[in-house]
Amino acid sequence: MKCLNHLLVSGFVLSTVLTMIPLRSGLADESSVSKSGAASSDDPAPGSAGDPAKSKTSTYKRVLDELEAERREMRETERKHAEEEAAENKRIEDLETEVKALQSSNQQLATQTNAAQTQVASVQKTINSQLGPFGFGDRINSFLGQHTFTMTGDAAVGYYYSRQGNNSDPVLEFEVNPMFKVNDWLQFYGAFGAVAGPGGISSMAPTLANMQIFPLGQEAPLELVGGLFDLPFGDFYENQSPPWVNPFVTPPLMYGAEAIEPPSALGLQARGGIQWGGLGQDVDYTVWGDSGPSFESTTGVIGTPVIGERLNTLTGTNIATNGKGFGGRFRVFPLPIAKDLGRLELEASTYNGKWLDGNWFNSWGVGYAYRVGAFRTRGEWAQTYRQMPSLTGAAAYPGCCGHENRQGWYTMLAYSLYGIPHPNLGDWLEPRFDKTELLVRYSGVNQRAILTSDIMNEPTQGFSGSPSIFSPHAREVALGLDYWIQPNIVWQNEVDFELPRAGGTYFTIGAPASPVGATTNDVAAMTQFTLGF
Amino acid sequence: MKSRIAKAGVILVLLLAGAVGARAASGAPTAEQQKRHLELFHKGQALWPIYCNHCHNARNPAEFAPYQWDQIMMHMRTLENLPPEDEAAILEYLKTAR
Repeated sequence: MKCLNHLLVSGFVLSTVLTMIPLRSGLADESSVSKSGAASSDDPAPGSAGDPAKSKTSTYKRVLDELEAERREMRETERKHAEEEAAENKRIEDLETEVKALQSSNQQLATQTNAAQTQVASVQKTINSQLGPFGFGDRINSFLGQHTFTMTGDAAVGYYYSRQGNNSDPVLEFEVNPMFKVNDWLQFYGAFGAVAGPGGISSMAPTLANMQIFPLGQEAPLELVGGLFDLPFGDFYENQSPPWVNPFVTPPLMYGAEAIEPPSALGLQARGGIQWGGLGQDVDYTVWGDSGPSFESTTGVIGTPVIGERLNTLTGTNIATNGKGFGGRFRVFPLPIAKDLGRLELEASTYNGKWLDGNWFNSWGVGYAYRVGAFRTRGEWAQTYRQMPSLTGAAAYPGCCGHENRQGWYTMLAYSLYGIPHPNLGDWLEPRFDKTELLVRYSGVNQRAILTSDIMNEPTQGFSGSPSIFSPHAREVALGLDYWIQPNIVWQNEVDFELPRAGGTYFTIGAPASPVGATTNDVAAMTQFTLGF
Repeated sequence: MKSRIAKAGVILVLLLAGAVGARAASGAPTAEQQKRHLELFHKGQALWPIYCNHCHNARNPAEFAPYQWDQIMMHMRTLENLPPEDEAAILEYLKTAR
């Protein structure tokens, strides 16, 4: 507005000046006319020498015409100025209108921005306080309700070779673990599986079926497990037996083909763990009672109890014993996490019971496990004692009576290659190098005898098919190379050297016992692709 | 068929959103609860690789849904005799980190 005033004043002053300039010019002309008139009166022009009055009139007329022309020019200039001023005014008005529109638009934007900011703040507050990150899982769980169902499991497909067994066969294993959670203190867990190999395909039978119960709530270190469960003796059956967890294709001898402890039992467990020191310094307990161990003669697979007969491997169909069993396992983890020394477990187990009438089966064992960085190791040693019935007459089969002791052990070492500095391997090789793990295991079993009808040479998942394993004094060195595609997907490769020692006896039902001399060594090789899901 | 699936999907999403919203409207966690969550999360973050790797490779939290981790950890706590507070911390980490 102030600018407009300046323009108006400037225009007025300019027009006035322009108006005055011609007037002054006219006056000057008039004076010159007067001067020329005066001059002509004193010194008449040569042309008007005949009629001075007429000449003067002509001069005035010419001057008047000139003045008229100047006035017209002035008016034209004034008109142009007026038009220009009007155009300027119009432009100023347009600009003012535009500015007002912009101001209005700005106001609207500011209002919208404020509203959006308020909305964003509200959403952010909701996210922070309600949906996440900490509350999101619980919200989903709340939506799904208390009853939930989950399926986990594993699958393995492999190819096994055994020189002495003359086997070269594919094998397949598949197991699903349904979990049905009823509420925060009760969950069902099961295991159904199938195994396929040259011997055929086993049916889908439940190998585990139990309830996990938290009788005192989630915050008390007491859980009950009732039903058919893995035997919590040592660590292998419970924690290491799934193919994708066990870094080897085969289990150690004492938990595999020559198992000295039953793999599962029907009963009730109480268990729990507490922290006794710093973070990671824990101690835990597991105690249980069950239906007791069973051997082949217990369930009628063979007619007479014999030293060297095999423990029943599948208690799902062999649980009808007249015995009772009870056991306990205690573990301590002495190293605190804060010290960054790795995790060390020390364990002791015992399992005892009546395997046949009043005849005892007793066992105990110790074990360890340790992992730090790329290195891990674990091992166990266990001993069993079986009281044999006193049989007479035809039942007094050689080796029937007295008692039977067995010992089993293993130790394994593994190292993942990511622990080795390897700065120059290149982009392709380096990740593959990092996923590779080298393994070695030594395991053995000592027992007095082997029942010849127990000797197998048909491979199945976890068993190479090597008959050399079935020796009273079996020894095995296993070398492994694992390639971990994912934490739960692994390509396992293993070479087993079966190195049985002389000693012990072979029993064949209906034939005389034969002492075992030097037993043939064997080599078996296995490759297996395993997935845990 | 596709439209039915689409409708079912929309209904499911609306139901989920409704349930989450209803739950969200029921009350925000207090600052103390948030602090407790954060403490559990950090503790679980420290324990997860060590405790899980003791027997097997630690599994990726994104592999399972929160309700599945609830079930799996209920099973793993029993199997491995985890102290209750440690199990709660690992569970918090697995459900949140995913």
